[in-house]
Amino acid sequence: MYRIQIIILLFISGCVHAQTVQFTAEAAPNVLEVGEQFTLTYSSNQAYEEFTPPEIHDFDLLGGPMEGHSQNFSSVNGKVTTSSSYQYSYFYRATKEGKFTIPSATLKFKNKIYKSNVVNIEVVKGSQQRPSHSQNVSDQVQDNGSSGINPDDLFVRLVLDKKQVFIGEQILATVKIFTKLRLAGINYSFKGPDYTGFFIDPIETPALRTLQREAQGGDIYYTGVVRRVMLIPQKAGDITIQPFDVDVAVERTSVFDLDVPARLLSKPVKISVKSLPENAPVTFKGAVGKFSIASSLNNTNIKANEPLTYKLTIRGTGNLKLINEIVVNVPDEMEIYDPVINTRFDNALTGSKTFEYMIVPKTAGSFNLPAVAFTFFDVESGQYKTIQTQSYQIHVAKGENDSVFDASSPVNKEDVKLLSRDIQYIKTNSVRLSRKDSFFGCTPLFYFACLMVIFLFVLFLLMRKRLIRQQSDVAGLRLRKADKYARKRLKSCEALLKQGNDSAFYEEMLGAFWDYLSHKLNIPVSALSKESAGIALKNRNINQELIDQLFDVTNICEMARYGHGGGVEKQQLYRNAIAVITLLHQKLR
Amino acid sequence: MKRWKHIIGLVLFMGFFIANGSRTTAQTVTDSLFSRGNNWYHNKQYEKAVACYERVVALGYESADLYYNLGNAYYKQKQFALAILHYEKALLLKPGDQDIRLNLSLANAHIVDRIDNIPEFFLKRWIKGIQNTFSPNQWAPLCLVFLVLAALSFSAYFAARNLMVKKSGFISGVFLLFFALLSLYFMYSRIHDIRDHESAIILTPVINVRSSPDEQSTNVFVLHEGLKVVVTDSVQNWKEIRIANGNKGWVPGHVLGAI
Repeated sequence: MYRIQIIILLFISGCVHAQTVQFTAEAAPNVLEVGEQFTLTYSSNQAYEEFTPPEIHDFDLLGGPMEGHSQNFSSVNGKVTTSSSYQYSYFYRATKEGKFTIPSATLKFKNKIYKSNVVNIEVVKGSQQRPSHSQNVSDQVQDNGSSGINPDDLFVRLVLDKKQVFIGEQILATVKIFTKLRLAGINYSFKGPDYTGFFIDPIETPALRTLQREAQGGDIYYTGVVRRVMLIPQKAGDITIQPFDVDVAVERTSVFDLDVPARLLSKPVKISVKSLPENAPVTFKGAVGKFSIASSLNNTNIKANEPLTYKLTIRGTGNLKLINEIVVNVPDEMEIYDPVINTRFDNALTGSKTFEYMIVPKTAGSFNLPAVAFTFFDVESGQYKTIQTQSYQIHVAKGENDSVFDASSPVNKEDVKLLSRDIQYIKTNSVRLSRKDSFFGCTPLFYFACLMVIFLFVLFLLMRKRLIRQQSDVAGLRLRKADKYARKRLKSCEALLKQGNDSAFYEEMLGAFWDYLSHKLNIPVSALSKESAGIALKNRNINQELIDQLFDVTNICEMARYGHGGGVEKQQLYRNAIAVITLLHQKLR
Repeated sequence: MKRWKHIIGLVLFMGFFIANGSRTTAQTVTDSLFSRGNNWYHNKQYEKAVACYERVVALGYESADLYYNLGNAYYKQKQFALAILHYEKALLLKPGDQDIRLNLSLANAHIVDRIDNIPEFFLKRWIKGIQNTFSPNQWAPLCLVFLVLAALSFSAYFAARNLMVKKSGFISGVFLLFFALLSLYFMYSRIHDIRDHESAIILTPVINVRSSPDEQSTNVFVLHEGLKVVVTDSVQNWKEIRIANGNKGWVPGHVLGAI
């Protein structure tokens, strides 16, 4: 059910959309004198069901409503379109002067209510004369000499939309002809006003075909715009635009008269131009008016060396034509080229100006295209205003052939040689990966090892000291031992010495010596001789002195035994023998 | 006798420590990753090789060969700045390696900036040369060996009776002790170099070097990727760099890859 409703609604709306309701109100003429009539017409393109006119008390209703209907067929390129018009017309007479507003009427069409626009009507007091029709121009020409036209009936004015402006503010200057007479022609190529001190921007003005009714100073004139110019003051101060003249021809009143030429002189116009305040921001480049700025970037993800299109559009009312510069900052890694500027006017005052920049990023990376600040002088508030665009983040990927490594870089011969070579192959033999920052030199083990070496060395020194002490003890001990041994060996000799048995003493002494040597040197007594014992002792590193001493003792003993050397002190000999054996014993072990 | 027992016990304990630290599961994982990376490299799949090597690095392991292979893989992909960075890292760990030096010079041939080096004082260069002959982990045992030899020499000096032995023991002991201290100094100086990340490589294609750590400050000069610079100061995210000819300036930290 619900769905069906929607379908029906869609269908209806489709029908309605095909021919939307247009409902307008129009008053003709809308500028009139007291006592004049005007027609108020409501027109609609649809046959309506119900029409409610507004209540009007300010005017006298003379007639109406009159209903009308017209249909229009048009064929464009074989396509036929039909348009209908339904009209309601009322006739009113103005009874009092003033400005009036006729409220909107309502219309009901397919259960919907539409409202018309409101209509403004200006009623002036009016002169007693009816314009142009009753006037005898030729009479006046004769009366007033060559021009012969009442300057109140026909004059030209330079109309400015404002007279107090800032430098750079736009002024719309209009050359307008006011007349109560019928004009036959206007010389459009008149020398226009002298706009010294202004930047002039002429506006295309269509040739004058119909004159407009306009109230001016309590009178109704027919007016026509002859020329329009946009003025932009360039310097401060009071500027007076000097009068200028326009040649016109006033239509003859009868078939037999000629058209009357007339030269119309305008009045001087004074404009006061104020200079802009001092505190202009850096970004102010002379824009005066009211503007908005928009930016667009065609792409934010591109490769290096590819162009970007960055568009800035300034839209608004003001001296658009004089805006030629916007401060655009791009990152240093990008190149920006001069913009292509396009100006488009919606009408004489407003329009838009587009600056199209080409930006080429030179390198890869992520960059910020900063916001563009645009400053204009706002005439309404009398202040500088700065507006900003958005900023863009641009991601630039590496380009196909990045210029960084191109031929631009200076390469010397050595490099060329290197560039032609290939790198060494990777190392594949098993490597020992170590943890990062793991240095043996920083481990406790290393410190420990170092301390250990020093400790061991000190320990060695201490040990050695003790050993030396011990060793020295051993030497003493050995000496005592050797002495004891020698005394033991010579014990029998000592007994014989005490008995006084000389030959037995010497015999015994010699025997003890040979016995000792044979035992110590491992030489049998039979093979033992002085020579062999000497050689053996020498081989055992006994110094010659001791050997001589030894043989001295034995020689004395031998000599004494056979009765020679009786003068030898036996006690002395015995002591010598003990000493020799002790020394030998110590050395031989 | 009791003291000896203590010492032997300590040595055994330390030995146990070393043995324990040498082989772990993490190490076998990284070893296999490393060899996989080598295989990818061999099959010219350089991106995959890089991925394997980088994982080893991410796991917190390093070696000169690992960085060297990683540098090679980057070189093959024409990412010369990253190649240089890893060659430099490898060289720091193994300064004497000829392969690393050659490949680094090949990679350096591809970079844009040619900056004249200010030659160092010859003595400093020599000392650096000696210092860079070994890695810190080679200097450490060397130091220990010298120390032991010095101790032995001095022991000989104290123990010997012979005058010649005594003399030579003393002289060699003094020299060996000097060598031990020298290698200790070299080791710590190398460790400082490696840990300090004093040098860095520029990784962004083009970078404006500024006069102060501020985006708005004036450009001093322009550098291109692959150049080795020395980091001399750092303020927030900005680093002050010095290039080989002595010029200084500031760059944002993210454009640098620390060696």
